[in-house]
Amino acid sequence: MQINLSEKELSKWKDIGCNMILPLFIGTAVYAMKKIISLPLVIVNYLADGLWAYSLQSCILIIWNRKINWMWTAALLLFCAGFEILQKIKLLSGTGDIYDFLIYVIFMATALIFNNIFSFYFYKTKTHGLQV
Amino acid sequence: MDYRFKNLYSGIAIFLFLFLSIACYPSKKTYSNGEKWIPEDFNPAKHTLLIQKYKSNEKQQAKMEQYMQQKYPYKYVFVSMETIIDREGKYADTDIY
Repeated sequence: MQINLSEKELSKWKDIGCNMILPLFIGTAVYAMKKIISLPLVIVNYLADGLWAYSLQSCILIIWNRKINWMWTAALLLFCAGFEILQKIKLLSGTGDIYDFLIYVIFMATALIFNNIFSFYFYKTKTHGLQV
Repeated sequence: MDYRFKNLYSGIAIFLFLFLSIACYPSKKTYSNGEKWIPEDFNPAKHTLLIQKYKSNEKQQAKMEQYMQQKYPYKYVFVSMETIIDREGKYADTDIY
């Protein structure tokens, strides 16, 4: 079976692999490795959460062709805050923690900061424009 | 891609991540095979139980200490994971700890 992808499609898949799948894979590896080797608690507790947030923010950016959509970015922030609040009031499993939320914000901001770089690297375009 | 589809995919992405996050958390805090985790020769009356300190969350650590104080009448010590796995340190003697 031969799959023919255009250059644009190929770039998108590379972007997905690099900015969505790879962070999730590293996050999963951190969880798996903590059972085998002793990792610093900061890495075990926060890195995986941060990479999860980075991956989700990247996913939204890729859907919107790497143009920042502030409505969905705000929705994502609300979603992360809601996720932690629901954990705090015991409606979801886990431990609600303000530091978790800060980690989400930092990693989401990282995805936004590097947006132009990845946009240029994968699609050879600069996306200063906003999608609203 | 049409705007409507982009909005739809964005919503699906968030929903999917939420679903995966919830699915990844353990649903129960107790385990049916708990007895298999305890070494056969462990005797709470004779041995001191070593418990890993939960460094990253002092509140949870305080709750654990309070719980142990109320529920565990035998000897126990809260120590770091490094101390527990250190085979040469203070708590290395498995006849006691």
